[in-house]
Amino acid sequence: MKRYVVRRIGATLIVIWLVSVGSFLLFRLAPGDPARLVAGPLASPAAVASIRHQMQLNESPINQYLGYVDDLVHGNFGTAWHLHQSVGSLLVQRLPATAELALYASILGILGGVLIGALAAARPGTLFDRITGYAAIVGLGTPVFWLGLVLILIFYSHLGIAPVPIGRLSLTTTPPPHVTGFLTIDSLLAGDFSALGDALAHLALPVITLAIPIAAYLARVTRASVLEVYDSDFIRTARAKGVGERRVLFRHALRAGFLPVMTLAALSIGDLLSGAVLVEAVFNWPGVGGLAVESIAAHDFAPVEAIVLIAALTYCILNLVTDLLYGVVDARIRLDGGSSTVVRRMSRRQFSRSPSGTGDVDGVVQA
Amino acid sequence: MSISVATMPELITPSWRERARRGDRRLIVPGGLFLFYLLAALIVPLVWPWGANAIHLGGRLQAPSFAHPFGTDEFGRDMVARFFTGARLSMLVGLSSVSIGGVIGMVIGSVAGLSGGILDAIVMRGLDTLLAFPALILGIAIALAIGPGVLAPAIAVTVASIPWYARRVRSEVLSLKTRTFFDAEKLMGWGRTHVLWHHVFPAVIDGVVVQASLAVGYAVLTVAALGYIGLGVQPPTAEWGSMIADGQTYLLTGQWWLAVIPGIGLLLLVALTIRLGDALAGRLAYSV
Repeated sequence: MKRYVVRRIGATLIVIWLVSVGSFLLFRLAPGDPARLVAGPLASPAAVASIRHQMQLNESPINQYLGYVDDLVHGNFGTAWHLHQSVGSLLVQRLPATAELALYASILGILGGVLIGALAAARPGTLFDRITGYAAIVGLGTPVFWLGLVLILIFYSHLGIAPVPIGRLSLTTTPPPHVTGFLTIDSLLAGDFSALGDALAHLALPVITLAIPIAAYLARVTRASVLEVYDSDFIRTARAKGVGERRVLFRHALRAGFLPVMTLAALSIGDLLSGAVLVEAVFNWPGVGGLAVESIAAHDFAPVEAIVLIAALTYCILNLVTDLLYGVVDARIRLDGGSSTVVRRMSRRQFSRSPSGTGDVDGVVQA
Repeated sequence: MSISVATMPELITPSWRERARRGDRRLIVPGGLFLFYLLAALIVPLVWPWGANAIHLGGRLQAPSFAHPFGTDEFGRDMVARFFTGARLSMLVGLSSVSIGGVIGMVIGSVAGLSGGILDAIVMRGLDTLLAFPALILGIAIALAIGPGVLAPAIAVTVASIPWYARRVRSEVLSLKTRTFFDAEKLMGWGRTHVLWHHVFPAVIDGVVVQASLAVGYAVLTVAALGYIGLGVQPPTAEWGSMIADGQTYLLTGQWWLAVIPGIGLLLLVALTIRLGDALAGRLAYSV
């Protein structure tokens, strides 16, 4: 176990280093003038020259890379000239909005997807299974930015029950005092229920938009995973000794089948970041993803570079945490006994981390 | 668990013709619909009376009608012509990226799996690094580096798909390596190239095909997403993502069709390829 942890952490560190090299190559050594890219199209030649000096672009590539890493380690991501603010402080300011959106979307997506997938696996071939199967394909095929627009069209424009799709609160609502940065939690702490209601109303559509592809993906993964476990001996044993179907599903099959689902759920949270870029743009959400799209529109690329790097690093860290958690969950289930062969077989498959783990679900997450 | 092709190569002996003769409805229906869609995307822009970029300022923002079944946009351009021109572009980029990515991924995965050792370790860390960049994020980064245009999304979806193929193929090669025929080949003195061409590629190609059919949809969605945020195909070229971005300006003023119809085109195409991927996976004895 200890060796496994050390090896995983080592591999992650290597990947993080490679990510920094890759982003350096893309952003600094690519054709074109990186200083012009960061300075913006309107900057004077003198300003570009000063930024070129600041970015050490006249130095050798090795020195440039060392300077690049030094900047990253010190959280120095440059300046967003179109907002006259340093990228670091912008990110700190914008992060809670994205985190709140992503948190609720992942809870809704994971719970909904796992539940639907498990119920469908318990009744293979039935109407419920087929309808949810088709719904999952539609959910996976839906472009999230388009889904957001359609939801705005229906719930705001036609039915009039959703608030104006701009920001996290209505203009007339006073924001609760800043504690966590999560408006729902802050307004609860302040006992301000009208602000809470307003925050939830603004969260509803973006959260649903972001959660649907995750739920669709996880419903397919869970269904395949639980169906596979249903074939195993310990399920037959459980049924033979008279365990009820519901208990077989939720206590035995889902529990063993949950391991690969957990890994894929964590990885789909990594993909949530790219979903957030699009959903925040549609709903004018003042988060990090929205910042990326605004900056692209303003040809201001320093914030975009920082966000690309943060997305990649978040993915690496989530990946590591899941792998380590997986070892913990795996060991606990093995201690319980009973399902050892299944667990061992599935864990081997997962440790090899072949994305083909569950056959039909690879590749398609969301765009 | 599915019986993977790698562990039972006997199962892959039936030819494509035999498989077609068996007649799998699950494969024929989505496959036929996909071909139909593909043909429509190729033919409609050629025969349709309106051009995709023909501007008619007199006929701006017309609602769907007999003459313009999908309406017209803010420049009076016919949306049917733009829709199918966009479909052609999406399919072209989607299909070429999965074919190129599939071949590269298959070679990388096979060689890494066959070699093992330090080369395998290096390749795996490289693949992990690629996985850390989701296709959309990679597309943004590439568009910053080489400038927006059709190339940035095409490179991004191709590169982002490589680790998925390579990992899948590598794990199949690792299980192939444990089989007796593999040692027999070595004893007979066949080199690595022969083993690759005659044993590894034929055994893993089914997995690559299944992976590719599922990856087409992801690629198409990513290309559209990059077009939507303005880093993909540039105007006036008709592309679904940028059409949705243009159309959203008119979403709440009554001209909903401009943004809604291209999205339905995307949804149909991607759902169809996923369905086709499921059917292929079932046909080729992969678990569904």
